[in-house]
Amino acid sequence: MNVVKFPGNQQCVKVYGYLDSYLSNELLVETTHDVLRHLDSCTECRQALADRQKVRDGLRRVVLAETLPIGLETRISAKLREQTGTNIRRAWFFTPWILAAACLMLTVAGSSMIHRQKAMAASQILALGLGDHIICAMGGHYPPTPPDMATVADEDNMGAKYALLVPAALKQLSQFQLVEGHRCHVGGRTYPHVILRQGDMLISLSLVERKGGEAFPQGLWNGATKIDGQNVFQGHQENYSVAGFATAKHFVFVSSALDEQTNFDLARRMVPATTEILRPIEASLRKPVTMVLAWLASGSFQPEAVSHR
Amino acid sequence: MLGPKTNVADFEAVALPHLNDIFRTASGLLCNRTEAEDLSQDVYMHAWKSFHRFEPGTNCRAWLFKILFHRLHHHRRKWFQLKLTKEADLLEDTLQWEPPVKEQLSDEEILGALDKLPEDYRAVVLLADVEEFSYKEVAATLDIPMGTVMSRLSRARRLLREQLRDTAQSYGIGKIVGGDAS
Ligand SMILES: [Zn+2]
Ligand SMILES: [Zn+2]
Ligand SMILES: [Zn+2]
Repeated sequence: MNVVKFPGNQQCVKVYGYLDSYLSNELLVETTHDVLRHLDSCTECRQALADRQKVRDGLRRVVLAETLPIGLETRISAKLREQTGTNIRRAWFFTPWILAAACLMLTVAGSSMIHRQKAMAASQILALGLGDHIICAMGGHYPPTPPDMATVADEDNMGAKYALLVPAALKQLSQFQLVEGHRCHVGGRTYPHVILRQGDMLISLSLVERKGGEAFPQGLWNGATKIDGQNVFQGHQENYSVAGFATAKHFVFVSSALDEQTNFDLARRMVPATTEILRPIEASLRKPVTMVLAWLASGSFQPEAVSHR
Repeated sequence: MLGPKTNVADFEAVALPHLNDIFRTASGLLCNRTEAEDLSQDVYMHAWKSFHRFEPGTNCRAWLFKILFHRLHHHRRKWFQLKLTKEADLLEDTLQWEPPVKEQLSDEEILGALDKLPEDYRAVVLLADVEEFSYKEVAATLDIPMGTVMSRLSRARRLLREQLRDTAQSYGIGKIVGGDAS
């Protein structure tokens, strides 16, 4: 080994042995003072301390920069539900939805190649929305008849703030009927979730709060389409399509088994209304509650019973 | 029922926020993202099975790390079989002056150095210096005595420094010897 002999100074020998403990704040106050006093006058020990710090910092930097594989949370959620049989009630379709969720790997146009691993890929974010659609909506997590608006607005379901998304979705996507509006919990996140249907085709409008730092890729060639000043991203996975965009504090998704373009067009129609509804929520205003109450009072909403064709 | 969380959702709310930590540690231990992903999934499946034994309010992160090492042991028996019977031979514990570390450390160099550490050492340094567990928690997680944690940790740090040494400068030994004696 290429080890250098120790300098003769006894103070050095003593302090050198304390450097790691000093860095970890494990020394008694008195010993810390001794170390500090010696470091003041000894270049070599200062250098040795700096080296220890550099290696520790470097190790933390490198390991902490490791990012989660795309959709791992969703895959774990799907497996957990598969194991427990949660959600496999009243499944309308014999879709191998667990399988779909378990291999959730989205293909997204463009973006991924120019973004380094550390940046969150668009597909990683879209997987959140599609995962909720597959696990919750395709998993049959809804009642046989649609809830009335008061039920949807209940805090146990969507809550008054988010309930406005239901009439907005029914207005923008008028060919669809309401199946359910609720908040569901997938992959450790909470999703206000509107499920609509046209015949046997289910679509989800779901949103989830962005955690710190989560954002779609920026830049010119990010693979998004600009709608109303919003970058709307799209992707697909086997038979499923998803499109999504970000507001100040949320990611918003439209997911279905429609082809990617049709699904994207539904998302496009939802951009202005959703952004509008979320704006006061994100500014923490109380307005939407009164708005939804006024809307409820107007009685313009008549839930239709779901009828199988 | 719709709104109320199921048990699975309760579990996810408590356990999934730690997935990042579990995955990156698994990745650091195995030096392989695919294997780390399999291991992380397995950790969560097992954590779910024993979730009824988990006491709310206790340290969920430490509990998950304990399961991580149990599963790692199970998955890769060989992983810990490479017991460091010659632990003492690997490095002398006598205090020796070390040549300096490189000025700039690239991510690749650091990962390479981590990769070269014996697995037992890697586990200790990841838990203590990256995940910031206390010696006591590391000892509990790995089922080894505190003294072993401390000696492995100081050797692991030293091995890392050795890998990251500035080879250009280590020839200038004379500069360092006796440098403090003045
Ligand atoms: Zn000194
Ligand atoms: Zn849902
Ligand atoms: Zn639900």
